[in-house]
Amino acid sequence: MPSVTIANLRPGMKLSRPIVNESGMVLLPQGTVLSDSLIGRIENINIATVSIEGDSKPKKPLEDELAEIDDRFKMAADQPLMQMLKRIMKEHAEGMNQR
Amino acid sequence: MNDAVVVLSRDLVLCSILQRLVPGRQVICCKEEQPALDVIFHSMPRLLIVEIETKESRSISIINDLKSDPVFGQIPIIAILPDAHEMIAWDQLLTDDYLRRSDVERDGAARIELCLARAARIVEINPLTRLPGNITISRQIQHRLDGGEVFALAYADLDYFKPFNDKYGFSRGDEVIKMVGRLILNLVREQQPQGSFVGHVGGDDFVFIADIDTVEDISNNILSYYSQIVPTFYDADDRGRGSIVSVDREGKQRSFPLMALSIGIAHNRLRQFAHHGEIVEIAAEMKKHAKGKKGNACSIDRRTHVQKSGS
Amino acid sequence: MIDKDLRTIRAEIERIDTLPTIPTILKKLLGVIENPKASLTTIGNFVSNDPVLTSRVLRMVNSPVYGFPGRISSVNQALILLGLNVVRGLLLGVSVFEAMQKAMLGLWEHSLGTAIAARIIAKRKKMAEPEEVSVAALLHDMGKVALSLKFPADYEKLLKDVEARSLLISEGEKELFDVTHADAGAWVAKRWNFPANLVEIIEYHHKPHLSKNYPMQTAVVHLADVLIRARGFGFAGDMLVPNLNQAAWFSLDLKEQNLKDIMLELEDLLQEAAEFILSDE
Repeated sequence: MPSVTIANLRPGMKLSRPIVNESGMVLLPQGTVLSDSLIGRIENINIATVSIEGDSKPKKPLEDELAEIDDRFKMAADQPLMQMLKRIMKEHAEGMNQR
Repeated sequence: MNDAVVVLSRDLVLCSILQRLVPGRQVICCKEEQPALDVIFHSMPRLLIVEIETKESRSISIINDLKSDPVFGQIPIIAILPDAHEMIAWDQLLTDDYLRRSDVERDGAARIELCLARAARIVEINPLTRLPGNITISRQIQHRLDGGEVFALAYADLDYFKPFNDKYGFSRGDEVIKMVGRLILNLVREQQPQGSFVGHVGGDDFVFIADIDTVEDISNNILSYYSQIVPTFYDADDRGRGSIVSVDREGKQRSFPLMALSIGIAHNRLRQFAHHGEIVEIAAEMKKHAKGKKGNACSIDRRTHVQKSGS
Repeated sequence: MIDKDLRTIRAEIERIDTLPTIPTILKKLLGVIENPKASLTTIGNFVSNDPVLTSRVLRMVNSPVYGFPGRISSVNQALILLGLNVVRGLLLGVSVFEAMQKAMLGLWEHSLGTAIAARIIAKRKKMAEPEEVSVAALLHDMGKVALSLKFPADYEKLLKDVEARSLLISEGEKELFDVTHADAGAWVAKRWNFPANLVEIIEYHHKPHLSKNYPMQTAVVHLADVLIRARGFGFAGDMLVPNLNQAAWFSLDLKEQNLKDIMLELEDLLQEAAEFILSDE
């Protein structure tokens, strides 16, 4: 349950704890999925960090992930050992994406 | 140790000035060397102030003799020198500090307090581990016994240190001693910052004082860290084998296990000790018992009383 | 080529006596050591996650002052031998790396990720000292910090150049300095009296087959480095995966399935590491 600074909030993140103001009033309930406009409103509340569910980085789409792997391996294309490594990384990314 | 300050000087005015400068302490003024030495040898004063009138003064050899003695060399000495004294060969005069005669009035009080504070900090430290030695250890134990404190005394030493030293040389042996000293000191302080004490008896023998309720925890922690660290002091092949080939006391080649740490613990919860030697003896006995166990081990005394020979 | 000969570069690198860390990490560190209740264990957990602090602690404990140089390669052992007071003083003296913070933050993640991966591999290979291997992995790129500390403008240009030309950072370093961060790291490690295995692993983490005395440990760190780059965790100076050394791979005797398992085990721990870096608690 990471705690993230306001500057690091991204759309799609989910609140793992409610955001409350100084008098204890709930402004945003637990489980709220953040949007750009919600993040803008949070920036106006005087708080430093927000608790976010699971990964503090928003998930990348799988296609982007796989394209990046291709990019990283571009110097080592034809080596069997590197081919195997690349295959493992892609399968791993796919597996992680389904989690 | 006595709290007194001994002054050796023929100058009565100087004596009275010094008495005035350190109001809280007993200042014993001696005009002659011999009575001064009597006082010193019998009471082990906190500080000695010696006036040196000329280069030929007998006081110089008294200072040097005291400083060359392992026990009385502990006493800090301030030399009072005449104003017109030429450069001094400090290796010929083994004093800790000095004052010019005319500066005594102005600087004396501060210099004396500074000298006492410095002495209280160093007392007698082992040059290898910088830990206090036997005099401080005995005093620490006796002080606690006299004050009716309930405490535990642990005695630690290394098994198979000699064959290690013989094989790898004394400088690597010294490395191990320094490591063990640091280890014991820091783990004792970490787990009991207040009221604990660590001393280095000499060689591979260490003692520490802690509360009875924490002493076993501390000991087990020391043993656990020790067993992780000590293999790094061996060469890779010996470490892999877990033993070394060295010579035994008869000069014969044989195989020895890696050095093990044994800790024996005595305490005064179940029985009384009047003299520091008695509790040290029990701790040493428990250490022997720990040595009987395999590897790194610790043994604590749980008996309520012992049969003393002749009682 | 930089306008300096190798001896001058080496002399400048060896004169480094402390590596600077990143402001965000330093802020957290101060929180840890200024807490009067902080024990050596809590400080130890923090220090062993940070390459700069780890190098600082190891440098101190292996210095001749303590009388057993070149012996200690574990953070926890180092902290116990130094003692709480020394450790606090030591960590308060950490300096900050304002420039290149972003690149360095990525290097920090890369180092921590490699340390985590190396520990997993070493444990699976049932090696005697997984902790030691992990420390070596944490420090394997300290030469990059050293080079960028001594030659900040050159190194910053190098990073851009390497990206534009799709080079590995070590290739670019070789062109510019005639040595790589592996050499620079080993110089510093040796000058700081680090144990021989740490020096050798740092020196050969790109050429594990040349390691004479610690080939297995070096191979583990090499594989961990490659895996973390392949996974795209952190930033090691370029975004390319360097070739996995054949000899090292065969000496480790791992199968494809083993690597898959290692990646799975790694994932949760990397998540935690990323949170440690990002969170402001």
